[in-house]
Amino acid sequence: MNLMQMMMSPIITLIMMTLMPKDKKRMMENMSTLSSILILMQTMYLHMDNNHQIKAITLLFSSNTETNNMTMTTHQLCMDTLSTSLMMLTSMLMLTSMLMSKKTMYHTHKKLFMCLFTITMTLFLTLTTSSLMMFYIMFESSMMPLMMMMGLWGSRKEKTRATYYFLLYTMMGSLPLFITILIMNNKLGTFNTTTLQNMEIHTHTQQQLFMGLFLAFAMKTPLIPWHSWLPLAHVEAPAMGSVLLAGMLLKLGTYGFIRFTTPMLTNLSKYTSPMMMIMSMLSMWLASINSLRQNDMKRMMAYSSMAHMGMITAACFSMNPMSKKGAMMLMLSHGLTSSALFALVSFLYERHKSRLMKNFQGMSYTTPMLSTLIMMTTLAHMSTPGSMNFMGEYLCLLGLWELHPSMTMTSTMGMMMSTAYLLLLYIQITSSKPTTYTKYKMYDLSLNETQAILTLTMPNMTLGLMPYPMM
Amino acid sequence: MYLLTMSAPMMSFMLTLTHKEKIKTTTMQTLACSMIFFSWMNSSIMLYECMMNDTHCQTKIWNWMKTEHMECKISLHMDLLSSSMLFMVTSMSLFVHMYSTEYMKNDPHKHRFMSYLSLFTFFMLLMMSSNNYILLLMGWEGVGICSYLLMNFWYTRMQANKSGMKAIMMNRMGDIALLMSTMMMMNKFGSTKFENLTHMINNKMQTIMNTISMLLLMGAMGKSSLMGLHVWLPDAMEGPTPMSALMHAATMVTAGIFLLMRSSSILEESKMSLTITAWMGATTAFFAATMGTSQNDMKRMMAYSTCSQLGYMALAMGISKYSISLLHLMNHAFFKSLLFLGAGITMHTIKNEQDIRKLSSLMKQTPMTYMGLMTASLTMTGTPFLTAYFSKDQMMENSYKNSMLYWLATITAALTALYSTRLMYFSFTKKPQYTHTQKPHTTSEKDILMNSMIMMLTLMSISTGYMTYTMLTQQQHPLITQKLILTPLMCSMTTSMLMTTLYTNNNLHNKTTLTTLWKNFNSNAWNFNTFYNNMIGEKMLTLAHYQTYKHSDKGILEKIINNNLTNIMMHNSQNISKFQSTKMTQHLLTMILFYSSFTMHIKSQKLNNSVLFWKNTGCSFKSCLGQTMKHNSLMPQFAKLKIVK
Repeated sequence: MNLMQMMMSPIITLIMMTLMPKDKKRMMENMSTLSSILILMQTMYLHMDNNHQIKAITLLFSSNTETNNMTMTTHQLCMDTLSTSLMMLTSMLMLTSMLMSKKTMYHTHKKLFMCLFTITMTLFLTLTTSSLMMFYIMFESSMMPLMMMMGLWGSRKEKTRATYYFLLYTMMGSLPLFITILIMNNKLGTFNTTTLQNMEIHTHTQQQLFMGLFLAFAMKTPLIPWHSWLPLAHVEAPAMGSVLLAGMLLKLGTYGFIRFTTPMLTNLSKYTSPMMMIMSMLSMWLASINSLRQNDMKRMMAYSSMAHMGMITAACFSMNPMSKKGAMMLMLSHGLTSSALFALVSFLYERHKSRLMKNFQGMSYTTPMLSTLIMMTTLAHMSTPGSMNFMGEYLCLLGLWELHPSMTMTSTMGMMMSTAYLLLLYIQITSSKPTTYTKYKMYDLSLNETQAILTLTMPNMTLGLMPYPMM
Repeated sequence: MYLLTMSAPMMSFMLTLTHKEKIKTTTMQTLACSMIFFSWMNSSIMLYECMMNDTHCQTKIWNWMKTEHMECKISLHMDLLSSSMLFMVTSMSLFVHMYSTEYMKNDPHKHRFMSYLSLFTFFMLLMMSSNNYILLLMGWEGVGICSYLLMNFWYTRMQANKSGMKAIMMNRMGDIALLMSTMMMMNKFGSTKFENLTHMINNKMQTIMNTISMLLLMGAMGKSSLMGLHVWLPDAMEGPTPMSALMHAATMVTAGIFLLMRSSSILEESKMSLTITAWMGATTAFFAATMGTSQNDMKRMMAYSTCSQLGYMALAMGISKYSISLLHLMNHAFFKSLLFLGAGITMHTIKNEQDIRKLSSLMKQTPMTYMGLMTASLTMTGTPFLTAYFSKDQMMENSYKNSMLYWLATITAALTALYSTRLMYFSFTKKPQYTHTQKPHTTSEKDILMNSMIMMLTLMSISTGYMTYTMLTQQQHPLITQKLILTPLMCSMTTSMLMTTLYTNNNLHNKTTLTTLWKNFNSNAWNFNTFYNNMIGEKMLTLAHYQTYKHSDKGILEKIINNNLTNIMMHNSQNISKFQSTKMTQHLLTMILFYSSFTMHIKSQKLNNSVLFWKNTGCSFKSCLGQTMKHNSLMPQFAKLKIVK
């Protein structure tokens, strides 16, 4: 029933938002923040409740399904710790973007809030459905509000190209997924994932299905040859768009790997795991080397998030429980830190209208709060022990070590490079003497903005020291 | 009580950082100092308990990581090693806290400085009293970050930024090695707890023990700046002097040595890594001593001397005399911090001048500091019955088994004497050269607090060796001849005498040729920096720009995927738009085509013969397409349009 309540609250806010007149901006802001806080509390309660009864699955809407062999009752919406933790992440991101929107957005607030709540709704549904068809629909429709955000609030003319690529790439991946889902239904007679997991799929059919189940998620994650939409999209998207993109939408790919690809096609993913490893290691290395020499801060962050996602995919395909748990934690923590960094970069952009790294100098003199927050988030992002990123990364690497030690060696070099580029970013922005350009608008973070960042960094720190809600 | 020791510095950090505007600076400083004093009291009680009463104690605080395979708790472990280290760290940080209240008097960011110092102390205590390697790693990284923050304290200076970056990168190398070693332990033994590991280790797994201990050695190399990853330490002197006294002399750099001591049970299993450690230590000591002789910056010289002393410690570890190493660590903390704090005072008296060539005859200006520095350098050279004598000399004696190491250590002792006499002569006893240009401040040595710190440390550096000698070590004199015991001492004495005679004589000819040769020999710090910059850093950055970004990411991948994608899309859409022309006949044709295929489909369904259906439809498609093509080609208007374009 809790799940039902939680699903209802964004819907109710959406309806209220549509009914509200356009000019009452203040009221809309307050209402949306309040409701997002409410949603966050609900998800936290849900997660705690779910975690308390170990591995019990909460369900909603049951129905009869017929497979080729038998009829059984299955449930449409269900969840476990993975989905609830990601839902928690979603609601946290939502709260931050609400808090951010008060300063960084300048027009059409009503549409923005509607977009945000539809994204929440679709993401909640994506994370809780057990039907593959439903998942596909929601997976696709989560892209739509983001595209709208990019189109409406994006700053440059390049945004059309970025949205175009974004759309094309996801379509290229997800059409095979659609076909495989249909094939699955044709051959096995059901859309339900739990029944599909328990079924023994013939290896030949597994081979057919793997391409579809892999490509869509690999495009979303993104792995190496299909990644070029990500930096573009990040650069062109508005602040909130990139926060959501880095925080949640990339995680849908790895969520798909953990939820669908590896449990359904166990044998085949074990068979292909060396290839996946090589792919993810390559994407990690290339992305982290690329981000060493980026000028645009957002582009750099995009590459860095790609590198971290490479680590997560490697952990997903190493096929042992420890690294899977690590991947889960890393997904959550990376969602928190990278989106916080994007938010901070957007604050910088909002002050000085530039995202180029070389323009900034001595920000710790002009805006001390901002620079300390950048420090904290970069430290967490480079997985310093004590943050949640370290926990996740450690578990991932431990799992990879069990697979083969060389995997760990290569991925630790990725860690090394992440330290290098993040430090470059931090030092470039905060150190040295402030120039006239950075002195021009010398106001520090407002209360709203600090709250927006702290909603992301505080959970990261606390969960890093006391991770048992996640374990 | 154990928790109180840890939490007091953390409390002071939180209070000083969060209540910047509300608390006055003086109250803040007294608060921080009293907090550290409190933890010092606690740690001295702990030292008493562990040293005299020989207690071991473990306290669990909370569960940290827990999965199916692994379990890791946040818990503290107290024994002789950790309690003695705790005592050392807290006493040093107390001294430095009190010293820096005076030293940083004119700095606007006193709050920040004090809070960082407290945070550093907290992380150091966490590392020393941790129960397992992962918790140790947390303290380890935290210490590194605090060192970066303090090094970069005056962030407006470019040099400070560079050095901070370098320090973090070099430390990160070591951290990653340590991380890998913990992972290997977890994988092979299922635990990283120190106690469990000592019981689980056996001789059979030789290769595993070798790799683990080599990785641990790598970690120690990063943190305590042994040869190879040492380049950050001399550059770390960009920070404020009290901070370099606390971190880069006394506590933080000894963390690596502490790690090796903690994992002594592992190191003992692999003879290979022990010999490598010993050699690493000896070469580091020698190299750093040679570098120390040719430095002109006072603080850099001291940094290199720290490096060489750390090499000595590693050497003692390599010949598996851990207790001597610990003793030397304790002693080194006192006399080296005395050196740094004294240097801080001298620098304040002469307008922050660090170049020893510009200094002269400070003996009259700062007699107290002169006394302190003199004691410290005498201790460092190993004068009998001062502190370092008890540890350094024993180390030498024990290393005689590997005679090469012994001789290297002796040469290093001679070099130590050389650079310390050089420092003392140039800055204190030399006749004044630039009296008109460099007039010393009038406010020198007036702060009672600073002077008392110097006094205290001087007393400590005279007496600690004697006091802790019997407590920490057993009698470990090997059987060697009396001559060899005296040789290092004789060597150092003779070199210092020689140096003084050379400097006091005005016969410049011999001196210049010798010194120029020597300086040419180690002008580039044995080219470590150039190697790292040119071979690794620059190559990596060019690779990042040209190869990965320009060629692969913006070049090949974009051409193959993005451009093809757009081209295909544009092309196809143009074709489709061509197909939808304004001609009635074309539309009719498509209608006919659709209907015909539909009827064929129904027919085939009736027949239940799919093969036939496909054949038929294929045929019909071909014929229809042919017709449309012909029709298009016959169209005169279309052709005209093309020509116009």
